[in-house]
Amino acid sequence: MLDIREGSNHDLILTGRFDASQVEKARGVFLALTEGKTVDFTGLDYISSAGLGVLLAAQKRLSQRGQSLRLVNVNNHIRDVLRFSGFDQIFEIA
Amino acid sequence: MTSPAVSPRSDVATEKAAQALYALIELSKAIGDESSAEKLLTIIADKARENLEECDDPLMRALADLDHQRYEQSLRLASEIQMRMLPSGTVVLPEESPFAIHAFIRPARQIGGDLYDFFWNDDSLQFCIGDVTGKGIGAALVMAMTKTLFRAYGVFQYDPARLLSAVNSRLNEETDPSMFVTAFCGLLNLRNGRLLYSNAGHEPPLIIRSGKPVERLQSKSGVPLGALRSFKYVVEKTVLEPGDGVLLFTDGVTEASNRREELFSIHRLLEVVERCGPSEPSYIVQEVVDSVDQFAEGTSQSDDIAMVCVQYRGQPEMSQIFRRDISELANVFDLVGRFFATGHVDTEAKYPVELAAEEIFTNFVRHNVNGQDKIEVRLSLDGDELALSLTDFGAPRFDFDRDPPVIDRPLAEREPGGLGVFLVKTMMDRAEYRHEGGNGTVTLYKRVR
Repeated sequence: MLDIREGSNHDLILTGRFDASQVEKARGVFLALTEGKTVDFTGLDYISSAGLGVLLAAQKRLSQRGQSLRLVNVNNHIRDVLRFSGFDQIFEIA
Repeated sequence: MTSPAVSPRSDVATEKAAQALYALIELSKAIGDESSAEKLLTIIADKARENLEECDDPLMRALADLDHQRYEQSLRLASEIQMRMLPSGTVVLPEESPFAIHAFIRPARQIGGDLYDFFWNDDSLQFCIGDVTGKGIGAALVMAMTKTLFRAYGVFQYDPARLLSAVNSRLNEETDPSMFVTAFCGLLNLRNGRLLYSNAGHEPPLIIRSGKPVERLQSKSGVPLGALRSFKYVVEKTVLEPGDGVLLFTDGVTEASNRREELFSIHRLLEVVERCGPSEPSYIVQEVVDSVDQFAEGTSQSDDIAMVCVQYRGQPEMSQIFRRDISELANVFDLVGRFFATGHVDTEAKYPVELAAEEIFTNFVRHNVNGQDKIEVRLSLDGDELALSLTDFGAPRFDFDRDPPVIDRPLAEREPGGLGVFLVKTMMDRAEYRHEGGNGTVTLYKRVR
């Protein structure tokens, strides 16, 4: 299960597992974004290509407005996935 | 405390008597009759005891007692050393181990002539049992030598016939020609259950297969070890299915006798093991020991008893059929989680395996929208390598080897398509795709230990 909420500092906080069964729920949140966000991965254990697809679509939309998503507190496994996918070149990852 | 001086007269007499006795023993050994040397010793010991009982010299009695105590003590030590040469019969292995083994040994006297050995690596389990002819210290020494040779040659992973030949040749060189060892050796392939074995004049083991009566394993018996220097032992082969087992034993089991001098016999042994069926080796061995003891009704054991029981369990494997629906993903992850929970697999590999299972599963669901049938996910371990296999029943062929997505383009040119299979191929060690009988199967491999 994936939980998405907004933190007190307006960061998006992801918790749980971002797999293909969670895409609909996440797409609603990410495609509604109108400004750049920091996305906190502290509680995120897992992401697959389905989750990456949602992030990519949001990043594309925001970039047209000169905005972007920034990913923080990424665990090592997810960091590998982002690197293998070339996402480290299109996202700021801290 | 002061000790009285030994009288010179009795000292000389003892010395002379001892010399005469040794001469007699050597003589009977030279004739080549060990058993009469043993009988002679027994007679002498009995006589000595009678004399001692009549002897009123407290010092002589004290000395004799001391000698006896020392003898008993050194026998106890020899017995301990002998038992320590054998691997412990109780072997605790993880639940998902591809085999289980249990061994038992109980010498009739303090030291014995039965032996067993076993050891394993990721690929195979080697095991053997042996019985030295004769009893006493001579048999115990040959037992120790045979056990050492089995282990020394065992590390070369010879097939069992070659192992027996190697041990036989050394025993011929290094032991008394009157000593023989019957032995049975097995080499179990832990990946496929193939059992190679060879027999040197030993009781054939029992083979325990589910759904079949317990029977003696067919084997061509060679001559006992130590009998013929260049004897060619033959290797034979059978296959154990997961659950099947073998019970190796020495004749101390079948020839255990009761007060009426009846033998336990192969028939009673077959009966007990048949009752157990394919079970835990420790259970089967304990049932046989209990039955033999119950049968013997307290009659003292006349021969050493040894057993080795092996059960093949197969490699850990799990599989499950899922509905063709993305909402089944949670259950797919649950299956992967259970496989990793067996403790055989490095948990570092869990993420890539979960990812591979999800990507291929969703690929099957999405690209075969008209599919009516189910999707099977199977996880297995072959040595150090985990295999994750997904089968799409009733699926058209799909291009598993299509060009990977371009990942170094600017954001505007990036498309999410094809990323899943690409990630799987990157994170797993290798991938195979087969399309047979209308079903498509993707198998992914990863080293996990």
